[in-house]
Amino acid sequence: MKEKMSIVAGAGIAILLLVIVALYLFGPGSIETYDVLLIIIPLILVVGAITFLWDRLKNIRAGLPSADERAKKLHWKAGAYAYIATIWIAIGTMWYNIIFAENLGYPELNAGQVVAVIVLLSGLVWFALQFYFMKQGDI
Amino acid sequence: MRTRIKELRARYDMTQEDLARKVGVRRETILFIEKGKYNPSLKLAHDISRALQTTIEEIFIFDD
Repeated sequence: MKEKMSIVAGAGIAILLLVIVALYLFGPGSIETYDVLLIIIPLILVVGAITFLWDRLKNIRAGLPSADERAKKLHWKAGAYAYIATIWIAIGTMWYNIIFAENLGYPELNAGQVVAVIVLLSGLVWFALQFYFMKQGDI
Repeated sequence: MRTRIKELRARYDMTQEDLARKVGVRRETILFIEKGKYNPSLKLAHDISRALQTTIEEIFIFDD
């Protein structure tokens, strides 16, 4: 029951994110190059989420648990690594604003953009690490 | 570490999925244990040995 609830919740969030991206894409505002990244990354996250949910459903249908000791261990490890990556991404955005924006004339990231970059990239790192770890036996 | 899971599964005509269902893990976990790529917890090693009607020492072989 708990597993089914998590799958329904995951699917709901994925659909909600897709709807938001669709509204953003087909909304009245113009889209700049930077915005394209903010659309592509959530789409990758949605595809990743769907892949994980599909994998869980496949196991449940076969009468197997969706997560066991190995899966839990690797998910937690991916989370821990993604947390460290998040710190470095945050530092990276600060360095970008200091080195590239202030000295080399690149566009400066405002607070909203920094938050978006941190949230989306850390999510991407988490998914990528989970996928990589699950393909390995153990780490 | 080597394991004799594959050999013992064959003895009882059991697939990886059957064993996974018996011990309550995903099929991939059994696959990686068989390949020696994942070290199971003591509890899982115990469950596997019971499912294959043998002892832990008979299944998991450590090369010194």
